[in-house]
Amino acid sequence: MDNIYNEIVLEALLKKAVIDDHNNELVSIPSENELKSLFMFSDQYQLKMKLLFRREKQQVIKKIVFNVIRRIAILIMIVGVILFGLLLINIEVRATVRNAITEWFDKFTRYSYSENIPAEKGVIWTFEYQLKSYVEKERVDLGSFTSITYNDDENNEISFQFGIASDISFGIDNERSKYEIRNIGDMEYHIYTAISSEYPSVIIWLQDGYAMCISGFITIDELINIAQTISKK
Amino acid sequence: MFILYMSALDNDEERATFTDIYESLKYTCIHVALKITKNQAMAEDAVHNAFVSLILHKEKYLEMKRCKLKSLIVIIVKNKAIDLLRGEKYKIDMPIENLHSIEVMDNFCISEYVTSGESYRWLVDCISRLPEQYRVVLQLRYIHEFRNNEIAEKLGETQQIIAMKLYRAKKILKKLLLKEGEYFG
Repeated sequence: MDNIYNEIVLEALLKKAVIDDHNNELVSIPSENELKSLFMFSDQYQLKMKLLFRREKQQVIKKIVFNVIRRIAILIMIVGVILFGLLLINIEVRATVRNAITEWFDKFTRYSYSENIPAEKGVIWTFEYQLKSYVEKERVDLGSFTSITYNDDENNEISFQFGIASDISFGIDNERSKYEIRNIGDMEYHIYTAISSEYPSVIIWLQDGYAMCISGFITIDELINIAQTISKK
Repeated sequence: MFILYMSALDNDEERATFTDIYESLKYTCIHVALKITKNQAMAEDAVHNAFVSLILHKEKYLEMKRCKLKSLIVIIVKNKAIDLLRGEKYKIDMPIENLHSIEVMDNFCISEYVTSGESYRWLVDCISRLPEQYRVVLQLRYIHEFRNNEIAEKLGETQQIIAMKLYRAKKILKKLLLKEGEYFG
């Protein structure tokens, strides 16, 4: 108990003594005016301090500019959100925004063609490329749209679909594939290479006013080979 | 425009204060540094280094009261001067080797020794005669009430070294008190 008491008293004594010593030290320092007459700073030192404060000033300015830009950006964002919110109160604006979002989404997931593409009606398309071990399994003919399915022994499927471009559209799952366009001859092929063997690769193109789509669990080169041999029956 | 103006105003005030602080204390700083380094060029370097480290944490320092900030700046300048001298391998301390021959009794207690105003004044005098590197640590601890880790950060040392310096400072104080004090074991 005595030791703890002594320790407390010591700390208090030391603190007071250190403070008094430091105060004596500060008081013993002559005033700035008196010291001014005694000391002269070297040119090198004055330059160093000038540069130091200039750098500090530049950092302060950068900080000011950054803060101002940040505040303006936040203000613009808040105003933008408020205005957008106010606009959405209007039914027509809401419908336009919804259509725009839908169109944007469809742009990357749906192929549709304009009504002005001329096409000969009633054409049956077929391909001459020999698919090993695949046989036609099903054919669905809906007039403007035809879908033919081929299967092999292991039940792998290749699908060939075609129809007058202005009458049909094709939907694509673009999340599980890598997209590219290849121009071969006069044809522009939109190719979706599957990123995993669990999903089919797809090729879509426009030929003589008909939209065509072949999908299957085969290589892109084979899909292209099939596409290149497409002709009217 | 208003936001721009307000931002500029705030920082103009800050900037003016910090430069003001330097301008109002530069001779004091050089005087303090010169007392330790005894060399004008080294003293100037010490003052420059002190303000470099002050600028790094200026937001904290600008919040302090002016008198306390002056005290802290003096301590930091002294420390930077000591650092430079350490680099030059100068011995700046009073010769404490003379004290090694004096045994400090295990039960010697400063608080019991300081029983009068005179002995208290002697304690203050002994603190003023401590090596500067220990004095600086005591000042940061007892005047500015920094913890060991904060003192270590300010002086660029580890907490263990700061703890050791505090311990040694008290030990040297006891020896100084014994050397010419009333108490002999």
